[in-house]
Amino acid sequence: MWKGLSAEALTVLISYQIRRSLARKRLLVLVAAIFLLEVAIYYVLTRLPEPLTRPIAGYAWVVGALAPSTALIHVLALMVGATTSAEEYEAGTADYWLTRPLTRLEYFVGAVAGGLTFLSILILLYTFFAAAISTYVFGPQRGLNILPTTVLSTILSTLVFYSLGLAIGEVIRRSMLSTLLAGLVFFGSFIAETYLNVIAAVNNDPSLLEAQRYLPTYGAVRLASTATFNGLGAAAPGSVFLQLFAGLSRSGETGLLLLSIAAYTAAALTTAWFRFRYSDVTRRAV
Amino acid sequence: MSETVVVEGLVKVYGDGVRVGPISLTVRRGEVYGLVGPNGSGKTTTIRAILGLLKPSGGRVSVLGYDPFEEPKRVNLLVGYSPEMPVFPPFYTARQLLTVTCRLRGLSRDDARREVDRLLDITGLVNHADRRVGNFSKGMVQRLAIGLATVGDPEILVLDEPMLGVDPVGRVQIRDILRDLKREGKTIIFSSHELYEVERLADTVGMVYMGRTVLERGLAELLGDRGRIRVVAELRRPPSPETLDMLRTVRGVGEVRAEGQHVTVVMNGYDAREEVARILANSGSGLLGLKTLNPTLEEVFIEVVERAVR
Repeated sequence: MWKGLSAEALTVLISYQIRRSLARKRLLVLVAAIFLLEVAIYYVLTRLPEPLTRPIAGYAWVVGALAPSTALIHVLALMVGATTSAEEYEAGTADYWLTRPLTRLEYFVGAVAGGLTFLSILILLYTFFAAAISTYVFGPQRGLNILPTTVLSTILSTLVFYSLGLAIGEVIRRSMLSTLLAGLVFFGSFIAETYLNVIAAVNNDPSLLEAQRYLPTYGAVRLASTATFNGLGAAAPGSVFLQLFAGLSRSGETGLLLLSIAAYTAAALTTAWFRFRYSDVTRRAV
Repeated sequence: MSETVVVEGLVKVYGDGVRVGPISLTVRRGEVYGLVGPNGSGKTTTIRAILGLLKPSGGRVSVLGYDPFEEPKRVNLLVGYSPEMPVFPPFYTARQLLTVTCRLRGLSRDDARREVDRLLDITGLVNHADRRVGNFSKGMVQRLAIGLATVGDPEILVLDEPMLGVDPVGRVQIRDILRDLKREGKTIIFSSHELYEVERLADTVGMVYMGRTVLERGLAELLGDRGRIRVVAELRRPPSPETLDMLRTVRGVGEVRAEGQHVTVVMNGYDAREEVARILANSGSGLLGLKTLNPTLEEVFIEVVERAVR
């Protein structure tokens, strides 16, 4: 299936998708929000009483590196995914690309990889930004050897909502509506998790917690913190701030988290591919 | 001449139930094929099927032996396409877009650079090469679209309404580009509802109306040998009603129309030009000249459509 994919075509498509993402104001606002969040986190930490922040001073980078992975990065991922193909149909640029000498698979892989590359670059940038700013504010940081694991696991975790957004965008081919629907899935899953947690605690019924595992946010929200805290091991102090993220981590369930991500991603990408391959290229609405 | 594009009984049923077809056409190598018809008649559906952008609900489409929907890459290597309302990624400059297209066609870096310079020159966009496409005028976008369609010297060019929304100066420039391509021996399929443009460029005309093919014939055959002659006489003074009545009695004369000092006489199936000239010369209106005119494609189209409706 992958034989015959042209490296030149993929390079062109990936660089196009990155430029397209950078040209979109809504995405840039979210990107700016991520970096503002980083700055705000460290600003607040410096304003807190020193005894409170002393335990995490050496691991302050963890807070900045993991904060966007709880929600913001997934919202950005679903926005990028939902608009990757839908906007091309709406704008009419799909006609340009699909009348070039490209196989349908090359176009699809190029589009998917392009959006993912954009997200990966962003994750890499803000994680290193968190490491740099925490070093500047709190002095030398420990456990930085885990940074690549944090970056990689965050990239993997974005796959769920990126591909769900892509599938919804490809199926309905309306960018705004697909963004809203993908957002509804994300926040719906988030709320459902919280609801199940509360009900499970009130009724003392652990089986409800099992149900959480089938929700799309389960793997997406937890993988980065799980991988990071697994890497840090016993070295990380039990500060209240780190505990916020440690609470999301499932030390013995990395495989399950990966399985959840893989299942949702595979299902969504397969849906998007079949819809794209076997239906007409929608004309731009005039 | 061998066949390059064959559409046989193409039928497309859209999701909202709108049905287009059956449409059939055959385009031979080296010919300019004008696909004409009013808006919504099925021209763009046909073109999109030829490019593999839509899956036919029935019938067959073949481009040099390939099925465009199943083998889009092969077909798009052979075909250059300029859409009805071209839209390009607005952040690219004309040079960048042409370079990207060259890369996708597999041209080497050096060949791509030469090809981009050549195309910028042909399309008259040399001075705008580094401007963003999003800031281009309609005419510039159309010229760029035609330039992009010719990247890598494809065997067939498909141009959907290349003159749409273009000002008169832009039209002349596009017409010149198309004439050059025709001289080079390119196979060109172009759709238009502006029959005047088709009449100037096409070798063969395919007419579609209400979603089906109503006629396919060579342009010369269509406008020439139809047993219908139209003459326009220029007089010194407006003709008298008696003169016009006399013209109407001449064998073969079907229609006589006077507008000021001009009289148009249409003959069907019989050449009565000598008799018409004699009557006008002796009428006392002062005959200054007589000119034979072929029917326009527009007149032929209306006639064909009326026949199809009947």
